[in-house]
Amino acid sequence: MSLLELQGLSAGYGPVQVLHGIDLRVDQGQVTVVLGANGAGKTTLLRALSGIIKGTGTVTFDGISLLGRPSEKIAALGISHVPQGRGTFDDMSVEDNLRVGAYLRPQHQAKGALDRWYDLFPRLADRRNQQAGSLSGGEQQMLAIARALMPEPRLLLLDEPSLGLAPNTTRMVFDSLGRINEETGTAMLVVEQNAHLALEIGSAAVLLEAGRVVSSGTSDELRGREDIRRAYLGY
Amino acid sequence: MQLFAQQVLDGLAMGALYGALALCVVLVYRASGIVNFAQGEMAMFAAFITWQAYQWGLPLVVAIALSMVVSFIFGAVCERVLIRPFGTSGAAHLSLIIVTLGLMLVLNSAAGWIWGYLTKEVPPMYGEGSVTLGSAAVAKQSVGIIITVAVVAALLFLLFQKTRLGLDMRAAASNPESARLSGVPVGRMLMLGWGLAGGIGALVGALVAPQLFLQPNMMAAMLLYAFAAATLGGIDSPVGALVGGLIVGLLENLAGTYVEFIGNDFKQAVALIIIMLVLLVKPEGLFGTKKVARV
Ligand SMILES: Nc1ncnc2c1ncn2[C@@H]1O[C@H](COP(=O)(O)OP(=O)(O)OP(=O)(O)O)[C@@H](O)[C@H]1O
Ligand SMILES: [Mg+2]
Repeated sequence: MSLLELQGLSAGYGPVQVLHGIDLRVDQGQVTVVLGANGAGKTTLLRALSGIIKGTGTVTFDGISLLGRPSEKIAALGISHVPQGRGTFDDMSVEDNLRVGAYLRPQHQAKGALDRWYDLFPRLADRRNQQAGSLSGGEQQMLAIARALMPEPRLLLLDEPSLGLAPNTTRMVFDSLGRINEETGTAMLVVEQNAHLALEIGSAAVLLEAGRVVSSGTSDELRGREDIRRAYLGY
Repeated sequence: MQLFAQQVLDGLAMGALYGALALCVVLVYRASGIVNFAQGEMAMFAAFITWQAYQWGLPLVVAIALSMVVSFIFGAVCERVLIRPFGTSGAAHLSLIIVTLGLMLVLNSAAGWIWGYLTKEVPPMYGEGSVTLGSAAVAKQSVGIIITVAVVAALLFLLFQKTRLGLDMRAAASNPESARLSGVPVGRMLMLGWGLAGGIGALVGALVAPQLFLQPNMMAAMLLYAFAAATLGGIDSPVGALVGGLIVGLLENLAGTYVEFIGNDFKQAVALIIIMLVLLVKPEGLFGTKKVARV
């Protein structure tokens, strides 16, 4: 059984249906990349999975049905979501942001986790008492990622983690994500425009078009396809 | 000089109450993103509960505590029953404001229906006499009010800055979606915000009732001053609400005494002018956060 299984997931906003029957699986410890053009429904997919918007169909996480569950209960099952942009608490300090991220952990474990992310993102450590809203866009993105990792989730949903990051920071973030995946076996579903990097840490990938999965396979399979190379890898 | 010192202290006492009611407005604003027009009537209703419990023979302090507990629960229930059905995204702004206006009218007529429109007497919690501070004689009640509001403010500060619960409440107010994604039960935090506003409002109602005389329309002007205080301080800033309240209380008292044409009759206009000026010149207030447009 896969960790996350979607069958015929449909979702949208009010009368507008955006996702039309998505089938997808993410195995334990696996990193799956979601590719797709702007407006394909990638963000909508992640939002439906973490319960921010309603969906129909079946979605199970470790055998537990997710649809209809409120976001905070889904988080409690071990799913963390880094939303696209705006994932921080702007009027709170960096450290408080991370402490909120540790909501689901006992207090005494939170301290160790804090130090771990400060080691990984020294820029955050230097600014621990600064308001998150006054960080640069890239620093905010690092903070949002660190915040989502605080509870040591079993599945991490990442919506364009490289948004606003400089190329070397992007590389650093993906290297860390890859390392976290290897060390802790955290499964990930990554939406990313920087397909090169994402496919490097991802073992599987799906391609969304207009709310439908039009291709899926291993990273290598998708990388090998000429149409995908042209559209998403740019060579 | 003596008159001036007295006016300042009375102004500060009144201002502390404006500030405390403004604090309630701010707590609700931070939770639900709306101004609760029923905040004053909730405090009025609570003052009637205090009066009723006192009539039944409870000591005044116990009566006030009881009313605060009832109002806390009532505030939390209001959020759950009247506000939450519209969702927590803040999209239903106008509907919510109309709902709070409706609640205001309902509470006002309910109080009139239960207790009538004749004024009731609530004794001052800190007694009738006065104390001499330097050369000025100040009502004990005024000094008591200032100290009480200071204690409430300190407790709230400790709650928000030093406890886990306060951290979660701030997170829920700051970014409800990300708070939820971290597992914070945002709905419960919003209820708590409304509950705290209800409870503090009840204290304000009981402290101000001896001066305004308890009747269903007691809080109408008071709410306007609280709005002025909250606007001046910044509608999302608890500290701002208190500072704003003190400034408004001082201005109102001094203007009423020393600027002849204002007198007692035009005091309310002072509040309106403050609201207008702040919104035109510095819409985010003294301590509020500037809203940066983002998509
Ligand atoms: N809050 C919303 N209300 C209504 N429609 C929405 C909303 N958010 C997104 N949509 C619509 O849903 C469709 C898919 O949007 P979505 O954000 O999922 O795309 P995406 O694949 O994440 O795009 P991008 O790469 O630009 O982030 C778009 O057509 C968009 O207009
Ligand atoms: Mg998107």
